Amino acid sequence: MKWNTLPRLLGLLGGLALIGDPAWAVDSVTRRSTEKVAAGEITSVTRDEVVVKPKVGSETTVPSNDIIKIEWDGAPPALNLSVGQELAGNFANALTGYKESQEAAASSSNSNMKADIQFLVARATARQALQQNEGLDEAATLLDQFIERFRDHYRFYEAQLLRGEVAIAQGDYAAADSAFSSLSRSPFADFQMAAKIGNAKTMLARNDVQAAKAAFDQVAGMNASTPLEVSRKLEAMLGQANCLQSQSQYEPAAKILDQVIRESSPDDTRLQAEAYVRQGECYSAIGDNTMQAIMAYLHVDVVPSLAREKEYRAEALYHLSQLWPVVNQPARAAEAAATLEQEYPESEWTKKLGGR
Amino acid sequence: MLSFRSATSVAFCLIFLAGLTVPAQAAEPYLDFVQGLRERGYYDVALRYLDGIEQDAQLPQEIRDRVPYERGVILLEGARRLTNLDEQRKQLDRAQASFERFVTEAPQHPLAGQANTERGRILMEKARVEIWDADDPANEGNRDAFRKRARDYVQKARQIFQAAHDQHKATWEKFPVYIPEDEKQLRADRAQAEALYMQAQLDLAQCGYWEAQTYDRGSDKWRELLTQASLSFEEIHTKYRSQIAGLYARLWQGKCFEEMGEIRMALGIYNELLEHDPNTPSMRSLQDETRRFRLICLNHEKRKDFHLVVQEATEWLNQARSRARTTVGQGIKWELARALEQLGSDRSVNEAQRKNYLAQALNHARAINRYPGELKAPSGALIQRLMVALDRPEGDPQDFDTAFGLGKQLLDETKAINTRIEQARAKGDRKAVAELQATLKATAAEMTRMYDIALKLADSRTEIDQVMYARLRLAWGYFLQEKFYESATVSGYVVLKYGDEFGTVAQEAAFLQLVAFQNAYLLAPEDQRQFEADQILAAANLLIEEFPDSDRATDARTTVANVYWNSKEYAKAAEWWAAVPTTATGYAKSQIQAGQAYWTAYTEAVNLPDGERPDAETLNDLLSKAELHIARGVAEMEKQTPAEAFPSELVLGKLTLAQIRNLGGIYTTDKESGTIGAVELLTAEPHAVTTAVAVPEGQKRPTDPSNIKSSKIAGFAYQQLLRAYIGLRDLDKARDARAKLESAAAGDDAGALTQVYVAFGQELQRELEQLKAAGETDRLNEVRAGFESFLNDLFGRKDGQTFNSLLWIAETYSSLGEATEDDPAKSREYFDKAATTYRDMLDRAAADSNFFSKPQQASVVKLRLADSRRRQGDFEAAEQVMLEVVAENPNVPNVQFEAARLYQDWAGSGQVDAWKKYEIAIDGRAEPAPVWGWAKAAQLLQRNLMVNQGDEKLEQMHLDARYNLGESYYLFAREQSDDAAREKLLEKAHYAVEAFVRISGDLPDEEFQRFDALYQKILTDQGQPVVSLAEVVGTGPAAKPAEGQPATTKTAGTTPEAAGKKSGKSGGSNMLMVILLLAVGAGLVGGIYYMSVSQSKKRHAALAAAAGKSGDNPRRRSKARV
Repeated sequence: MKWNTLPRLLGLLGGLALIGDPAWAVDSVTRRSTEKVAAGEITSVTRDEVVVKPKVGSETTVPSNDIIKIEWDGAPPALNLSVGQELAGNFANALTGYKESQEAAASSSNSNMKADIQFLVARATARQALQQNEGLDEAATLLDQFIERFRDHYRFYEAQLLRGEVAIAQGDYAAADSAFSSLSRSPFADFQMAAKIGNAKTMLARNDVQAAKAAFDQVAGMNASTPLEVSRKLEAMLGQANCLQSQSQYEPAAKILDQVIRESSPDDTRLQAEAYVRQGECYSAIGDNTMQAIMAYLHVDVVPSLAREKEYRAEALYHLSQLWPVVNQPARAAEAAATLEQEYPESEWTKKLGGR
Repeated sequence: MLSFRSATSVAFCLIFLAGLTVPAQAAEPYLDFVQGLRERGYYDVALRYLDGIEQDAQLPQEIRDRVPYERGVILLEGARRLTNLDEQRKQLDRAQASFERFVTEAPQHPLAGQANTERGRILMEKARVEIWDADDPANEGNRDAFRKRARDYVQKARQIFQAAHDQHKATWEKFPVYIPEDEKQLRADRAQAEALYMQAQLDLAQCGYWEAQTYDRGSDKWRELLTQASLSFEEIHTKYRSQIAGLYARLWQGKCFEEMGEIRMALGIYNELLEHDPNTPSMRSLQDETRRFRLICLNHEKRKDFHLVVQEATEWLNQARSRARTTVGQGIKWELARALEQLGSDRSVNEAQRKNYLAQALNHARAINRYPGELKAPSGALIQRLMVALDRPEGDPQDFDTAFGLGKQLLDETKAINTRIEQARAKGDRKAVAELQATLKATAAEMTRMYDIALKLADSRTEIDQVMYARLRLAWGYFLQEKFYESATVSGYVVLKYGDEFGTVAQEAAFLQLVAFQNAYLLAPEDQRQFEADQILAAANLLIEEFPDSDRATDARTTVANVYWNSKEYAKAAEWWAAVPTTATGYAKSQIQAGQAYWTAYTEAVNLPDGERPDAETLNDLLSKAELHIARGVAEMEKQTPAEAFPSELVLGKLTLAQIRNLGGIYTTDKESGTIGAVELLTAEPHAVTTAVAVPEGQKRPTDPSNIKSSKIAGFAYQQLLRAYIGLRDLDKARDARAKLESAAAGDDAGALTQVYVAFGQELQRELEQLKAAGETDRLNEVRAGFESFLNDLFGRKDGQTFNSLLWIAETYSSLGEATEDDPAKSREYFDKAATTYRDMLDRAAADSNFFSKPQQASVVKLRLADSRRRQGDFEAAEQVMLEVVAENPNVPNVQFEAARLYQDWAGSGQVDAWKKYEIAIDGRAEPAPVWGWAKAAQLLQRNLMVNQGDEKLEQMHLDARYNLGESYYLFAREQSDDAAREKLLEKAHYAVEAFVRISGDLPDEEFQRFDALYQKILTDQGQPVVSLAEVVGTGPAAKPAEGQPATTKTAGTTPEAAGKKSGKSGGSNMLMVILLLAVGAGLVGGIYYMSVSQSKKRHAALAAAAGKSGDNPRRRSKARV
């Protein structure tokens, strides 16, 4: 027997010992408020909550704003893998997987699961459209179809929120108002805050900066008791800073952004990435702060968790390509431009770089 | 003297980085940002950022504590990239100060030990700089002062290393001696502590070595310190001989021996280290350093093995281009220069050769002298010596004209050398060619330097055309030195700058740029050629646009076509060849190449799996373009070629065209359309292919497979002729062609004869698949019918049949059966005929004891018979024969493999109660013959692999057995009506797959996906959350979408070469079986087993599809086959 036989056999035994008892068939709900997964049979789904009945013990009711995802019993294998793709920002891959899952689940009797997959297709389409600023109409249609068909699904409010964001990007403010209005009737404080923020963003898009600022101020001044509410509050502060920026009040805007960065959760990478990019804009505009602006943009470029926020990284890279020459670093500018072109060939910032 | 940055630096680097990845709790990602900046090399920004956050009152305390440490790391890394020694020294001082501040302010910090070690290293770095300065002849008067400073630094470093050593030792000793395997974190912590402890020991021993360098060589103190260091290294090596730190200690022990004059002992150690497998970056670094030390020994006055130094150093520099500029690479180059200087000083060598050595030494010395460090001063001195020896003016020219003139002289020298190279090449004097090429490079380097100087000296008074020529020749000089990027850049500049005014020069410059990028393309790794390919395209377009009718434009088109061909973009390659104008010299050849590229594109496309294959219209378009261009090229070339000449392009073009005509059923010339048929293409004079491939009787065929008279090409030609006569149903001529095929391709070589059968069977399958893919149903049926009729006739002639002829018939029926799987009834019919033929062989053997030349052939024919019956769906008959084979060969793994497969296929056949056969497929049976089943087969194959490691075929069989075991459990479970039995079998399936993948380490992607797909199906049936195996076992590729799957097996077979490659690699057909039949003399076990593991491309395709769609049921479950 050769020398490596023993470890291999030990590995085999170890491998066998490590495998636990197979679980029985369950749906499992991943929650924001706790790491404990609620597992069992989902017996009821409404827009406000989901009821899970475990094999042993009493039912658990999970509020819909607390649900990150549900792994449905009998879901197509590609579904969970596609969720991972979506989380990593690979929307095209995610969509392929979701659509495959949709086909595979067509004959399933679980209508809640099928609705969930339909929502995921709409969500990935919307995120991709928002990122690329293309395909917004298709995203809106898919979200409308979901909202219309599944008015009592736990994804309903999330769909409304996304529909509002898509509508703003489309310039369809009436649709945005309608979506946020619906969202504001949610029983959950964080969704209510999100609705107000949505309204404020709509006002800002309409160039009604004063009204938008007031709306953002209102949310930023609210008490926040849960991490979700804190996140909404910080998002409102980001809105405040945007308003101040549009009023050329860069220094107070930069201060607010600094606070957003300090107080946000390290997991809230999207919020942080946007805050750094806005901060970069503020420093650029203040004058004599080129290096500070570069530092702000660099955060989004070099910190791995922030660099995953592709649309903000593309924006940061564009600005870096413009700012590095100001501090006599043309090679770094070229590096930033090359990264932008290579990694985000379809980004609007790449088009801007090429003068397209 | 030597630089020292090697000892276990890789291990330390990891530890160092591990310290930095501690996540910060603050929302602002301070440390991630600093690390990101450092990784980019933005040291200035990182330092500025640290300065900034240090002023921030809200900075969290844990980050504030760490700022000096981070600053030290940035300064240290930054210092290593500085080329100015003074700047480097200053920055090292600052880094040291930062680490000191950190240690003082946070002595209990977990990174304090690491900071101390870094401080020690900085001191050692400084000590080495002082030692180099002390050795510089220019500092002779201050030598003692330099040495004293060096000793002081070493002393300080030693104190630090000693403290670190004690600390790391104590930490390591706190861990228990035995830690159970499942306490992974604790084991990892102990391993890290031990790594630190080992490193500290090595650091301390290094102090002794470097302190010795501060004394005169040969002095008592020097000897005492070096001996002590040697003992310390030996002690470390003894303790850690299997670990990288122990090997580094061994290396330095060898270095101590070398310096004490014990060259033989030193070389013994280096040779021992070079025997290790360089399978990790740290081992590769160790071996690079070892190679350098070994070269020092070979250059030593006790060895004077200068030629060996030149050989080894040149080989290393060629193989490790990317590492040539590292400190070790420079050291190797330095030893090379020293050896060349010595060879150039040997008066027994002729003058020209000596100058050649010296010129090469000068080039290397100049390259070394460009960089700071220990070799700067000695290489400067060497340059001076070499300039004197070469009788070159010590100073460089001071005006453009002189430099330009000297450059021209050197240019003329390169031309003369090139002429001599051609002459030597014509004589076949390889040694002289190699030597002259080295001289050419050395001369070109000097020429380049001279034109570079000239261009720097050019001013407004210099004539523009002279500057232009200087630039063009500079580009040419780079090209001769194989510095292709430099050459392309400079020549590109010439085109841009002088294109309008000097058209001819610009044309040559553009062509030089194109060729330079082409060479760079060929040297670049295959997966990193996009940049070069783009540049070739741009340069070619420029040439074609500016000089459309020139020969250079034709060359450009051909170059681009070759690039596309190399990157396997055949249709694009074809377009470029096809675009060569009719007026160009190489028009006919380009047309044939275009046609062959289209043909290759067609066969590649046809062999793609269903979902990926282009539509029939696209396929037919490729095919007709292939036919059009080859026919055009052949016609044109025939006009230009004398009757007695047979250029290989023409012969191969006609052969490919004959293949296309056979595919289209044009066997003889169509008088109406004038389309020449395959038979005429192959046999009609002038330029008949059969004449071209013929050799006089008794003469051996050339072994070079690209030679048109080689067995491979001759065999392919007769294969096509045989194919055409089968199509014409001309039995006599077909038999005659088959005899010629056997004679041309195999002669008396029985092994080669089997290859003839293999190739013919493959070709037949390929043809049928191509017709199927192209939607040519009528033609497909016609070809099948033709073959069938031919085989029936042949089989019907009972007389004159031999083992070989019957085997050929049986295997060709099998090939037809395999290629007809979309028509199960027809396929079964063919397998039945194959089985009948095999049965006939066994009957003849029963009547004639000489029918089989080797007794084992009987078992193999039975195995083939069983396989044919299985594929026919006659499982009872298959079992009957299989059990006979098993009884005769109970311990042959692949007989058992086939037996298990028979039962699994039977179980899945849907016949009444057949599903119960899964039990035999899994666990085997004892009677009437001992069948192992998958479980035992997998175990025994695994055991067999332990003594036959690296045997790819055995590994594949093992993987298939493991997979089939899991799948059989899974399928057996699905047949159960009892829930408990079902769950139990699913559980077994689950364990079988998961446990195997868990212990198998890194399975190939395709295999991992196959197991993963099965695993997910099992989980689905078990009602468990469906996760990827990658998540469960922590290995394997991340799950990929279907389109990300590796491409399925392709069988191009467009040319004899391609067909040969494929058959050699995968077998790909039932015909491979034939090899076994003639190879059984080598032992039945080996023969049967090797025969069994050929792969089918269809199986690959199905497998990949199954892996891509995890929810699908893979139609095939094995890559192994008979």
